[in-house]
Amino acid sequence: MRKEMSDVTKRIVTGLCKYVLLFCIIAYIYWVYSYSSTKDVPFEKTKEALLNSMNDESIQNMMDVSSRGLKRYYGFNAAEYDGVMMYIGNNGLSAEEILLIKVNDEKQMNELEAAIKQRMKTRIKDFENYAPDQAQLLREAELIIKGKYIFLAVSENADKYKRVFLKLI
Amino acid sequence: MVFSSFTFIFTFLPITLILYYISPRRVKNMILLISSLVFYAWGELIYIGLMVLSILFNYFCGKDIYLKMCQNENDSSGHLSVDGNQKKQKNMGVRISFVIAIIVNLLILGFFKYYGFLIDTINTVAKTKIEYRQLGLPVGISFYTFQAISYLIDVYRGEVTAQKNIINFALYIAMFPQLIAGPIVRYIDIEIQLKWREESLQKFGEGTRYFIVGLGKKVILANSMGKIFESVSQNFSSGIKMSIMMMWVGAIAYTLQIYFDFSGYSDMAVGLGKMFGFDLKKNFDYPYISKSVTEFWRRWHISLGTWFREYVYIPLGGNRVSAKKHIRNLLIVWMLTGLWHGAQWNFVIWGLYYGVLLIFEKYYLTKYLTRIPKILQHLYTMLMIVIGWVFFFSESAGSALKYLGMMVGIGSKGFLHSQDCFVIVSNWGLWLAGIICCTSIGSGILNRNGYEGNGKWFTDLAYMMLFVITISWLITDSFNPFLYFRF
Amino acid sequence: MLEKEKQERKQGDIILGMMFVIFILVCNLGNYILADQEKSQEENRSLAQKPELDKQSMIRGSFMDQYEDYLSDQFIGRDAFREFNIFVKMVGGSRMESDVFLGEGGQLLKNITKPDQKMLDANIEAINSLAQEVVGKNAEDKEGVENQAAQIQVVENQAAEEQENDDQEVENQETRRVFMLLVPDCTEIYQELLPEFATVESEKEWFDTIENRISDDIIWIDGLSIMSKYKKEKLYYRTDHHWTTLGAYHMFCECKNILGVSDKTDESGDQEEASEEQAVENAKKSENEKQYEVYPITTDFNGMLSGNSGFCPNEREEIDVYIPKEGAVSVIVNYVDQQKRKTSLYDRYMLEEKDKYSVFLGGNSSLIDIRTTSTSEKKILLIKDSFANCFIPFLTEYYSEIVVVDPRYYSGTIHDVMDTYPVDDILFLYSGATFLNDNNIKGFIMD
Repeated sequence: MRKEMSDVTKRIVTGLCKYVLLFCIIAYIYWVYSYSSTKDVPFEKTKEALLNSMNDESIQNMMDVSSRGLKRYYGFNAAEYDGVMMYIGNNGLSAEEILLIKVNDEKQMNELEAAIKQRMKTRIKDFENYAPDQAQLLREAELIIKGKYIFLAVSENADKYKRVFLKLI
Repeated sequence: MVFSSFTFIFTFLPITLILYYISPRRVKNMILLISSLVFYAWGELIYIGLMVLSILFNYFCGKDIYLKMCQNENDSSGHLSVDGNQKKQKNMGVRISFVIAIIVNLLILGFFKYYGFLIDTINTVAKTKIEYRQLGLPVGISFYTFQAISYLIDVYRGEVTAQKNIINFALYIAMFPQLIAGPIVRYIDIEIQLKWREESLQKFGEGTRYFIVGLGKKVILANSMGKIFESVSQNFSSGIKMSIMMMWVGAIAYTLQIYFDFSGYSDMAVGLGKMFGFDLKKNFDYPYISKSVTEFWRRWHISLGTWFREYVYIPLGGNRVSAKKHIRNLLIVWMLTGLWHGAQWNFVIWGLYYGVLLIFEKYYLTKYLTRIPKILQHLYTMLMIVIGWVFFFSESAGSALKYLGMMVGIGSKGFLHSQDCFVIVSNWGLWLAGIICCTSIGSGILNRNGYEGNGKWFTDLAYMMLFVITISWLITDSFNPFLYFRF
Repeated sequence: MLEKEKQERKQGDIILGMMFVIFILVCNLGNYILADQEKSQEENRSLAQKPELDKQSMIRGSFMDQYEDYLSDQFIGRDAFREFNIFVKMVGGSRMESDVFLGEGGQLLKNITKPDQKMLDANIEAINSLAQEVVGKNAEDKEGVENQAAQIQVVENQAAEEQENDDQEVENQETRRVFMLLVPDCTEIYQELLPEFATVESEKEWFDTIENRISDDIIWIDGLSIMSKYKKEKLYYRTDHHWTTLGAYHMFCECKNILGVSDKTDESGDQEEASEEQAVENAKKSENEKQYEVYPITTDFNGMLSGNSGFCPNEREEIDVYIPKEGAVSVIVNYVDQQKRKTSLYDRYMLEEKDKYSVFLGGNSSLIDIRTTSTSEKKILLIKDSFANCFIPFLTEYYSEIVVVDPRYYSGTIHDVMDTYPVDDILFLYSGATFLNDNNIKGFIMD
């Protein structure tokens, strides 16, 4: 039923498609490279960059619970990972949290991811009633897993921190 | 997705089979294609795009080459030569299209697989410190790229016509039974089956036999040997000195693991193919019963050997050239074979190791080899094979040599420790099964009851028993690696 | 092949194909009908549940992993398959699964592996620094005495030390002591029961190293010798890695003197020995005096080693409870983090779970504060793993307060604990396996 294309047309179309696809492939590779490739950055460097990006005011409103916060809030032992940084808001009314973990082994990633998501869900429910704006922050939180890093930002500046993080990795 | 998983056996396969068999003939290929894409995406979401683009690109390239060739023939019509010289007089247009297509494919493969390796090598040699970002390797890229290249070359050679139906072509490249781990199917072998194939209950059952055997090999034998090897390997990496026996135990465990892993997967591929009416060629033919290294490579990873022979070795002249050139051809082919397996120097060394051995056998050893008693021929071959695997599994040439040294007492501690005996003795069942299944005795036992009269019931029950045991293994063990996934 | 054979084989193919399909369909049907289990009694762990679909996990592929885990964990007849699998493996010669050996007479033995040197160093450093802090002031004075404290036979020194204790009441503080007791694992004591050819690391060597490296401020209790002494009795469970209450009892009796507890009831609670002979006599009397009634609290115990490895799934053991014939005290057990209080050291609800050993103190908790009606005024802080749980009931008569911390679960530091609960003595009570492989102790003490 199709109109039979002349040989010439067929060849031209085929040739054209070929080059279009070649272009697509190159674009795709470029996209994959910039989007999902990872650099192996040492933990301290990432941590430093993140802390620098947090302006003074934000830092003052938060406390560094890196050493024990992971165990207390998530039940994980910080000694198991390459690096742990955790800052939370310093009063009970704040859901703010910056969490950066570098794992030693990819296999640790899944349980961390599951635990973080679970906790976020619980916290959203907790905050819903008495501090809905905080619940909103939780809903808009940025959770990124890239390379050996897992990063969580619950904050008004979550977007900014996310970009700093992504640029580094 | 992997074949040896619950997701595949109990969710993916049943759904795909049902959809396939209830759909009309015209839609069957489409169903199979879509499930294959789901199969791939399940394991590797990011790179599904790459495979789809590669398929489309190669489809149009194939058509392009073919159309140009047809035009070529039409232009010089009237001079149809009988001896096929016509084929060789292709004009520049066709040649250019062909070369571009091949180069693009190789570049894509090269980029994802080797650019890290390249930069590392440059860094080591030129002492620079070029940083680069690490990119994941798309699963199966070595397999599907090689299949695409084989298609293009066959079209260029005029041995096949380009596939007009994009679905059929895509199915050829992406069909899930052979997508992730081969065999590397030549387009010639499957062209007709893409359009005309017959499924039947009998063929399905035949496929089931292959599948069950392959699954058993992978889950029971390969994984268990893998555990043993892993513990030796870990000790080796952390510098713990082990006894000579233990080094051998490790190497032999790996030898068995890689065979059962890969041949098990190939068996499953053949079996799954049959379930959908396809007849795929077998990829392994009891390689470990070989009496020479030459014979080994006729029985191991047959589809890869065929590919290199057809598309590199023969075009280079094969063995129909002077001895010097012949040797050069062999070395090139084997270097590439090694390189295909991975982006590391120890793979290249592994390839060249075999290249040299094959040359040596061909030009010198074979006449002596055939004169010594068979048992010695077997032992010689096995020894060469095991040594080869040491290069294969080591992380670098240096550690391979270190390992080999420890196998003969350099750097090792003692000959046999109690703990080594424990590893050997407490796994005697596995060792025995492993050795038996390297030969056709294994399948002989499985089919012991034959097929006469009620025998077939018992035989089938034996297969089902094997399947149940395999499932029990899958449930209990969480250790389920797949070695050839890096390719 | 003959034509007829070919025909037969083809029929065989068809039959097999159908068997295969039916098997898969039946399994799927079964999985669908049967409700998802939350927990596996046999393996004593929670089972994967149906994973949630969300964009992030689909892209990362974690949804796919979770789905596979879900199918595997919820597969019909999972326990039966496991049992069958272990059986097949044993037929093929396996005597070790999941790091557990099947020893002679059905004794399960956990493998002993080389500990992580860095971690061990960190732990020792942490404990030493604590000892320095707590005991350090009296270091010079005590040095001569403490090195001999470890010999439980030398009771005289004990008395001498206690004299010095009284003499040296620095300021208003009582001198605090730090003890360390590592209990060897069953495998170490019963190495001869290991299957043929099997070898394990030597815990004794590691214990000796630790003993040498801990500071002199710490009183080392030679758990290994004590356990070896009573080897002929059932010191460990066959299917579990814990020691039996009998084992704990023997250990306690041998330790009594080192810890400085005795059955002599006096008002001050501190032992004021008038003379050396009195001390010896009292000590001897202690050993003979304290009698316990032994009650089996369950005879249906199948322990963790069995659950993990799959060996001996049908073995049933007895867990005993030792109740003092006289002088028993009442307790209030305060689970601080859970804000629960109980009046018994034994949690009968745990007997309905697989891990019946948890009947002792309800299993592992982060921080427990036990107050007793003992007339002693001594208080002790126990830093421990689960081994201490069946040891604690023996302590209750001799301390008015026992604070129990498990660094694996407690998120604060030792200073938080010591500030809230001032104590006289500190006892580290660990099994060899946990101590050699634990990376929580350092964080607990030094952060």
